[in-house]
Amino acid sequence: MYQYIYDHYLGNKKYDKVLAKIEARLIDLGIQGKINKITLLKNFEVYVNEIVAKQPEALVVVGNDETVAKILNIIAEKEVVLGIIPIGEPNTIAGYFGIPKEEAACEVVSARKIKEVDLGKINGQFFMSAVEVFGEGATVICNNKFEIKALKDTEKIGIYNLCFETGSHQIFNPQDGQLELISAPKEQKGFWGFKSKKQLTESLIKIKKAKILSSPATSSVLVDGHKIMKTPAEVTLGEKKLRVIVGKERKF
Amino acid sequence: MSKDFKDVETIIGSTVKIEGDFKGEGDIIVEGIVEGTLKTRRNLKVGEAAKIKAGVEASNAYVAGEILGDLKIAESLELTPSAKVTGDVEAKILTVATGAQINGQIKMGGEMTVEKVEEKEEKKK
Repeated sequence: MYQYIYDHYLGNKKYDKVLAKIEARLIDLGIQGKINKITLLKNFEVYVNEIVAKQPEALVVVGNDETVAKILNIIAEKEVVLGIIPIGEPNTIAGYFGIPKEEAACEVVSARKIKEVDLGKINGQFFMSAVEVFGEGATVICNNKFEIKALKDTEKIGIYNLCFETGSHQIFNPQDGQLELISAPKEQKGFWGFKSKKQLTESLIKIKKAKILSSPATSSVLVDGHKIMKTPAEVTLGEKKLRVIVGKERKF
Repeated sequence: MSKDFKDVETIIGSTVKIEGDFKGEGDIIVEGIVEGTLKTRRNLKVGEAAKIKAGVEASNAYVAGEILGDLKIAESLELTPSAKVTGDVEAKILTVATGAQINGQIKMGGEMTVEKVEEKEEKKK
């Protein structure tokens, strides 16, 4: 049986119509299941663990990136298939996995194309996309072998499992068992503050694990673009891969 | 040479400094600072602004920057006019452009692979 988890913000009346359409489509496709609505009164972790214990055919998150991020730390390394029905914004994770919004996502869930993807781990917590540390002086020890120091003109050092930005490097494969370290330089300004034609080179290094050191300039890191954690921080890949239902338009 | 850099695995950009043992399996481009050792089984490109203070081993290398350390290149080494090498150079084929500087001994033509270089070092230990 499929288990659906609705985020608490979907309790707002403005989502009633879209939820009704989704539920009708799920019935049409024969994948209707138990709907579990998150409320602020329930202990989220206990609640989700109870649902996972029922060994559902798939655990389908109905919500946005934050809903997926919340659930990730509970279901990572468990025997469960994750589905996503994106409603609202931001929904970059679903977009990366090729899942269209709202009602159209039901087709993808029904098609059940499952891919195994790596998950990043920082100080024991899981992350999907990236850990970023900003500014000059940031120091990262990689694979216990070498140390990377950010010099002047470094905007940030990012350690990526997969990347949602459409930058110059389209090589982040969340199935390759590796993390990619990128150091992004500051944008160089030219005459009258316009963007200069001559830009500094980005760094790209494939690594297995990293330790972000603490310094007065880098006392915290940004995880998946919204969570702040303290340094020093150990970054690795999770031992088990996450099984996700993906669409044809996925970016890997 | 740049045509060969299709599968670049590593880029060390101009705004970072690497210290320690850096070993890669694919092509490496260095534009920043490296101190320690730098090894790859494939191609190495050292940009004009790059500063390497390390023992370097690669299959092929194209050098436009500064290297302070020994260079062991299994196949072809190309030094451009801006290249400055202070250390011993070992390569099967060597191309030196006018203006390039080498301060050290040069050994050429020997059969050598990156794997063999590593084996020799291990035996020394």
